[in-house]
Amino acid sequence: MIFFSALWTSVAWVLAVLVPLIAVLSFGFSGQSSAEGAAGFFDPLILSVVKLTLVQAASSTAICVLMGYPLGLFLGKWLQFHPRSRIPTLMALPYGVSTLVAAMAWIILLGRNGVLSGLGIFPDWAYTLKAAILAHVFLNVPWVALSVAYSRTQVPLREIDASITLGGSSWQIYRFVTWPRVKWGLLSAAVQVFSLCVMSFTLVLILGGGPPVETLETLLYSFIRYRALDIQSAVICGLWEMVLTLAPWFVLIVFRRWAQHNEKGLKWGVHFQPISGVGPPLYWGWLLSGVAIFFILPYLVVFSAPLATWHTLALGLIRGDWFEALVISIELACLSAALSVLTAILAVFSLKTLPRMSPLRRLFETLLTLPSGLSILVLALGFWLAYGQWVDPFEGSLAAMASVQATVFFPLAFRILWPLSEIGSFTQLDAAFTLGASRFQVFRWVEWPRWRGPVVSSIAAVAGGSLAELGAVSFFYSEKLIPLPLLISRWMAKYRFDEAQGLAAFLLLVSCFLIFFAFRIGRMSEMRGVLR
Amino acid sequence: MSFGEGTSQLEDFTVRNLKVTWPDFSLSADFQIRVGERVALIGKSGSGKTTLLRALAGLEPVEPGAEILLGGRNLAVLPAQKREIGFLFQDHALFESMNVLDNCTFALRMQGVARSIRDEEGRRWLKKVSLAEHALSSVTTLSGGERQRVAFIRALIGRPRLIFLDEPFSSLDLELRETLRREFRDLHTLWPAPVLLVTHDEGDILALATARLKLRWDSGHPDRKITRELTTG
Repeated sequence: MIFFSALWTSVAWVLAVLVPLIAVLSFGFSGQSSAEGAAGFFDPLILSVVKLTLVQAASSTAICVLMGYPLGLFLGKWLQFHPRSRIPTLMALPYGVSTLVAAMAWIILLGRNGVLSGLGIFPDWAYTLKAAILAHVFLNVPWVALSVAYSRTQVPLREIDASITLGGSSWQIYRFVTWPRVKWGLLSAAVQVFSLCVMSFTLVLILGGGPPVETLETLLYSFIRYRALDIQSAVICGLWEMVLTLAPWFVLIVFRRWAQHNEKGLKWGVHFQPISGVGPPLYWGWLLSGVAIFFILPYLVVFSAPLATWHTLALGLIRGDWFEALVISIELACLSAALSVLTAILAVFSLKTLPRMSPLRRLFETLLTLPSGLSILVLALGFWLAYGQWVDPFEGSLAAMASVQATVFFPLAFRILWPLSEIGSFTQLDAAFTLGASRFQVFRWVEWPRWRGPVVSSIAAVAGGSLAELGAVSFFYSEKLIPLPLLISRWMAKYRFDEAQGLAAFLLLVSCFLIFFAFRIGRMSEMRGVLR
Repeated sequence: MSFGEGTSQLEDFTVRNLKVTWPDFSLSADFQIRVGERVALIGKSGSGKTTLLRALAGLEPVEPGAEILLGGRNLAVLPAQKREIGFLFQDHALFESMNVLDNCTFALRMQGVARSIRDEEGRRWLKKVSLAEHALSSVTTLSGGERQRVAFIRALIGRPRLIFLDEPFSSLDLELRETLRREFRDLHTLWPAPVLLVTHDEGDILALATARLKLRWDSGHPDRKITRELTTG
């Protein structure tokens, strides 16, 4: 079993990550002199797009940190006294929002006849960089807040009490007790948000409205799909993007040891113990719930489609207008979830045999989570370059979409499941053996109950992510293979906006339900998995 | 069959030529515990007391040639599941996915006892230790003392031929320890299987043990040896 798990994991990683990456790198550096290569790499058009990508990602991250950090501190303190609070679930819902739905919601709000524009708020922001940054902020502030909150819950109250008795002021307590515990959670969230903003595709594509708001991701896509096919330039965009996304990712790895040390109590199955004593006043709960809802509010505007739209959509489903897209999306979500969760389970099985603190285990863990620092489009480009003779983006390929999505969502599933290898129920297993249980019975009665929640959570999280994903879908679609998110964006382009809005509402409901389900089952640990 | 019936099946426990060997650790043991005896295993921290219990229970490998005899049977050749040992773990090791009743009756479930019978048996045990109203609660909601009682029931309900206790009362307050020691002594009178008890607490030894085994070990030296030191009762 261990051998099979290790073999499967290794082969999957080589085929899905290493080979596509090597394909992108080798294509970028082959067949031309170093001077030509450098000229391509530092082409003024590309450099201006790199600059805009950096400005967009850095601005979004800075605002997210400024808003998310204090929010996270308050939420963390609240959670210490109310460990079963549902506010984190509420705060996690934006993760379930497809970027396509988010883009549509912001167009409805910021467009010429939009709700906010009508009120004079953010006038003329639609199709500008500001709109893209605003959308990124709304999606990512809750992430930062959650990450900080969970680090904050690890600050022991007895340390705070001790500081007070030793004469520490509020500032000193924050400086010497709270900050050392939360700083890695904040850094980890900031790095993750920066990478996500660099890799952001749909929001920039739709809200930016095309040039002049063009980032590396949208430029790469246009080199493949919109302009004359220019693989060389697309690869250069991909290389730049890898530099921008992998650099912070490596920073994260360097600091991870400290982060893990500081957050070691946050494991799967470890729930916060209620703390006695006087906690924050109750109105904090209402305020925090209000803030969490505030970050979901903009997306609810997609439900404002005219009543006739729902009728049209229902008829369309019967006629088959979007039934096929729905079936393809469900197939894709099932395939991606199955591939990614199965591989994650086998990876956990094979890695848990290595000694806990061994460098080899750390190395494998790091390599396995590498896809979280890769953009879907770069990975898709790598798939095309590596497996082009079997997979042609212009022919469409469900298998390629599923493989790319499974690869990108694998770190999410892996991180949800990974803590299971770390917290032992070894004595429980031993107890079961001494009570006469066979190996199968031990698995059935002791191990599976531990795994059931995380496995179901990871399936729901990956399926939710897959249903909402547009990058791999845009890369490998064909006229016969159009999943739901792509159909929505096409209807938008064809001025069937109301119907697109209705479908977006449907997609929002489904993906939010899946994320809610995943988060409630696994409680807090999954989001930590996401945030890492 | 109620608890306490069938004690004639109980047999003396003898360990001969037992060796556990790791790169920097070696432990050898030869001793006997008779039916009705409660023997305390004492020794320094890190000397290997828990390892000895685990090895006897079949949870750690031992060197070939060891004899772990229960009457005429050599347990050393049996897997952990077949040794019929009631093992009380230091951290209780309760199954958090199950309720109190299911934890208590786990051994009966493994023996294939029908649900109605094992539930009835479990509830009878829970009533004995005043936990009947918690039967369907999650074990995570129990206090330390209540968890300890559930762990006792789980270890004893299957009428084990041997009972191992690994620092059973270390996490409890003094008053609760006294109560649980008394309860255990009463239960052991009903089911006097040989008991091997690992503890650091002199109170446990005085209240429970009828004899002592000392695990001799010079810190820094890899070899440990067990000798029966003193019989008090």
